[in-house]
Amino acid sequence: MSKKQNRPHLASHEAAEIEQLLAKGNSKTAVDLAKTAYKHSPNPESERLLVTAYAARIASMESHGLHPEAKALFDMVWERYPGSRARLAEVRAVVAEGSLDDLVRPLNDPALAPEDRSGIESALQRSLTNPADLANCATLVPDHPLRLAAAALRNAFNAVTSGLVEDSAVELSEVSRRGPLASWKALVRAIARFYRRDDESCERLLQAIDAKSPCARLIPVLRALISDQTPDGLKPAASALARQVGGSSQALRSALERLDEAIDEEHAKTIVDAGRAAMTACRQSAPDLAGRLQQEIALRLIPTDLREDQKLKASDGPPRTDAHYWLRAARMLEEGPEVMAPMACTLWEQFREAAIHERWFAKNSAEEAVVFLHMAELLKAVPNDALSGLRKAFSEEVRDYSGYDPDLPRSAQQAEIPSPSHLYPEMLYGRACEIDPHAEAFESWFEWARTQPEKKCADDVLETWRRTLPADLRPVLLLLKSAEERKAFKKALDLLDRAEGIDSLNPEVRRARLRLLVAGAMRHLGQNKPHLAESELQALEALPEAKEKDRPVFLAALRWVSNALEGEAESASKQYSSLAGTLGGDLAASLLIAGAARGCGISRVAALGLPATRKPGPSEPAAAAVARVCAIGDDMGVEIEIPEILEAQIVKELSAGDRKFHADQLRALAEASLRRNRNKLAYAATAAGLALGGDTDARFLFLRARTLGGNVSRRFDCLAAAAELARRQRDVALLNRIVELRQRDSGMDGVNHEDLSANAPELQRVLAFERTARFSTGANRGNRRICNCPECRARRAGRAPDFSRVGPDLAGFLEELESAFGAGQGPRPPKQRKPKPRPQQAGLFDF
Amino acid sequence: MKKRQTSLTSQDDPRQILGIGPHANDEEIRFAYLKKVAEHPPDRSPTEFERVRDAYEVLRDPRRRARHMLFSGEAAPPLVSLLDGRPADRRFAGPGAWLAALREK
Repeated sequence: MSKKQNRPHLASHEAAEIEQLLAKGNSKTAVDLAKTAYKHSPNPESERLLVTAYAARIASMESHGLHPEAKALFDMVWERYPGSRARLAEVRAVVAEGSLDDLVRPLNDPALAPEDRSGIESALQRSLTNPADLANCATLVPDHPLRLAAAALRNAFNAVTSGLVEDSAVELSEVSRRGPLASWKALVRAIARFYRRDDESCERLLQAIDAKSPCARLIPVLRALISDQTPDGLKPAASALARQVGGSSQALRSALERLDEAIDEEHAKTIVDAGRAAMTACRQSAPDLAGRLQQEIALRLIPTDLREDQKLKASDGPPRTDAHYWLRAARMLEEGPEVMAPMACTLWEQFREAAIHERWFAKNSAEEAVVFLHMAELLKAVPNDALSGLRKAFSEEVRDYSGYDPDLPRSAQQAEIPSPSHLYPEMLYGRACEIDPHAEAFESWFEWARTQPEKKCADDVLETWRRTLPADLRPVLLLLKSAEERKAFKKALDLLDRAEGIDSLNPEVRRARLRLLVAGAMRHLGQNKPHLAESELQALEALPEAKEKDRPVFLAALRWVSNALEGEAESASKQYSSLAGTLGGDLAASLLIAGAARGCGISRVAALGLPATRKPGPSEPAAAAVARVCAIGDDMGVEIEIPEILEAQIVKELSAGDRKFHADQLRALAEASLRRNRNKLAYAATAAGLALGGDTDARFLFLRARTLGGNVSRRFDCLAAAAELARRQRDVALLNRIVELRQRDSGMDGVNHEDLSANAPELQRVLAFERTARFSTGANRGNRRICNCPECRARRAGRAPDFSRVGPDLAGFLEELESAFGAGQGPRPPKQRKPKPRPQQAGLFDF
Repeated sequence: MKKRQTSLTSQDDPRQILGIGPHANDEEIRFAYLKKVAEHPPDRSPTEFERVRDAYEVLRDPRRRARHMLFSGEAAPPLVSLLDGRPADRRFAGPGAWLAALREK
C-alpha cells in the first residue's frame, strides 16, 4: 500500500486556495498547488481545476510575450487532458493570436463549439488592426461571412480616409453590429462623419467603439481633431496622423500676428521678412488663403514708406487686382482724410466694374445702386471747385493710376482708370435713383442739390422724384414750399391739389392750403385788388382749419382790410366792433388789423381808416391783449409790431405775476420782441413763461438765452439747461435751434447737442436763478453754474473729452474778454431811431 | 413696438449661416432659409434659429444685402483676422496614416 493514499475528493480549502491565487493573478503558484492536488486526488474536479490553472498560466505567459512557452504548455495540456479541452478554448485563441491564420482556422468548422467560436471572435475583436488582413486571409473560405465583412470594411475604410463618401457607402450591411467587427463598422462611419464635419454623429459613433478593440486607439486623435486642439500625449503615429489630417494653423496664426506687429512698427526689413514668412506658412497650411493674404498684405503696405520692390517681396509677388481688392482699397482709403474722397470714389468705381464682371451682382441691380449712392455721398463733402478741378484733370491728364495714386501696387497702377463720370454726384445720384428708386435715395440727392449754387438744381431733383414716385408726398410738399418762397402761388396751388390727391389728411397738407389761401388773399389786398381777394377769403372762411384757434379773428382782420380798401366804411366798422368784442378791446383789434395790413404790404395803415385808439389806461391789461395778438400773428406768419409806448406797461403787467398767461402767447410775444431787439420786453415775457413751469421751461430758457445779449456765461447756462430739457422731452426741433444758436455764438462748426448738457443739480440752479433774476444788461459775474471746459462737457455727455474736435474753450476765452474789456455788452443791437413826434397825435399806429 | 436686435455680429457671414454661395439668387436664398429653419426649429434650437432668421433678414432685402456685402467688418482689420471663423483643416491622408496609428500599441 503506498504511503500516499488517493483521496476521492479535492479538499475544499485546497480548491478555494487555488481559486484565490488565480483571482490574484498568481497563476504559477496556483498551477503548482493544482498539480499537487490532482496528484493526490485525480478526479474530474481536480482535473478541471488544474486545467483552469494551466489556462491562466498560459494566458499569463502570453501577456508577458512568452509566446513559444505558452504555446508549448498549451499543446502539452491539450494533449494530456482531452476531456477538459473546453476550458482551453479561449486561451487557445490567445495562443493563436500571433498568427491570424491559426486563430481563425477553426472557424471553418461548422461544428465548432460555441464557446470556442466565441473565444476566437473575442480574440479577433481584440487583435485585428487592419480589416484587409482578415479579408485576405486564405485560411478562411472565400465566402465566409467574416471574410466578406472584412472585405467590405477594407473598401469602406480606404474610401472614407481618401475622400468624402455618402452614407450609402458606409452602410456595411455585411458587418454585424454584435459581431467581432462591430467596432470597425463604428470607426469607419465615425471617420466618414468627421470629414463631413458632422461632429455630433462622429462622437456618438466613437462612443460605440469597444474600449478593448484596437479601433479605440483612434478615439483620442479624432477627438483632438474635432476640437481643433493641439493633441497632447498622443503616440508618435497618432501625432503624425493628427498633423497630416489637421494641418497646423497655429504656425500661420503666429506668422500673421508677427506681420501685424511689424507693420505697426513700420520697420521695412522686419515687414519684408515677416511678410515672406507669413506667405510661406500660408502656402503650407492654408494654400486656399494665399491669394487673399497677398492682397491684404499689399493693401496694408500701401500707406507705408516701403519701396515697391520691398512691398513685392513682403507679399511674395503682385496681388490679384479683382473686385475684392478694389473693394478693400476703397474702404481703406475712405477711412482717411476727406481730401481722399475723390480717390476713394474712383476706387469704388473700379470695384463696381470688377464686381459686375465677376458677377458679384448684376448691372442695374439694387447692389449697384447702393454703390452709386455711396459714391455720391462720398463726394458730398468735397467742395464744388475742388471737384471741378479734379474732373478736369481726370479727363485731360490722368491715364492710369501711376499718375493718380503712385502708392498703389504696380499691378493696380496698370489698371485702366474709369471715365470721370464717377466724379459727378448728379450722375451718381441719378443712376442710383434710376436703378432703385426709393425715398431715401431721392432725399439724399435732394440734400446735395440744396447745397448747389443753382437754385433750380434742387427743384429739378424734386420734379424727378415726384415723377418717379408719384405716390410720395414729400417731393410735392417740398416743391410747394419752393413755389411759395418764389411767390408762385398758382403753381403752389396746383401742387397743393396734387398733394391733397395723395394724402388730404396729412397735417402739413392741410396747413398748406390755409397758408396759400392766406398768402393769396394778402397779396391781392396788397395789390389793392380786394375783388380778387374775395374768392380766397370765402374759401378761407369755409376751410375747417381756418376755424381753429384764433384764425377766424385773423380772417376778420383781413375782411376789415378788404372792406376798407373797397371803401365800405360801415362794413369795416362792424368788423372792427366785432373784432374788438372778440379780442377784448380796441387795442388788440387795432394791433391785429395793423399787423394784417402790414402783412399785405400796406404800410400806411391809418390811411385805411383804422379808428383812432387811445393808449390803454393802467387798469386795462395790455399784456394779455398784445400777447394774444402776437400768437395770432405767429400762427398766421404775420409779424406784429408792438408799439414802444406800450412796452413799459406790458413789462409791468408781466412782472406783476398776478395773472396767468398762455404759454403760446408768451412765446409769441417774446419772439416778436426779439425780432425787434426789444430784449427787456422779451425778458419779461420769458420770466412770465418760466413762472408757469412744466413742459414749457425748455422753450422759455431758450428764449431767455436770446435776451441775454453779450452775457456769454449766463447765455450758455440757459442754452445748456434748455438743451437738457429738450433732450428729455425729445424735442428735436428745439434742440436743433439751440445748437444752431450755440454754433453762431461760438463761431465753430461741429457743435452738437452733447456739448450742451446739464446734470440735475445744475438744471435746478439755472431754473431757480432765471425765475427770479431781474433784467440787467450787465454780466452776472460769479454766477457761473455750469463749467464749460471740454472735460466737463464731455463728462456730462458721458464720453471721453475730444479736444481735437472741440478745440479751445471759446466760451472761457470770451469770458476773459468780458473781464478785460467790460462786461456783458456783447454785440450791441443797432440803435433804433425813435420817430419824431407828429404835431397831431393821431393814434398809436401812425408809422 | 421695439425693434428686435440682431443676433449677428460683424464677424458673422449671413451666407455662411445659410450655407449658400456668393451668387445665390433670391429663390436660392429663400430655399436655404427654409431648409435651415427645418434643421433648427425655434423650439429645439432657439439660438441657431435666431441666427438663421437674422441672416435671412439681411439677405432677403437687396439693399441690406448690398450694404452688408460692401460695408460689414473693419476697413483695415488685422491680418490675423483672416483666420477668424475659418474651420480647422480636415485633410484626407489616405488609409496608411490611420492604419499606422491603429497598429501602435
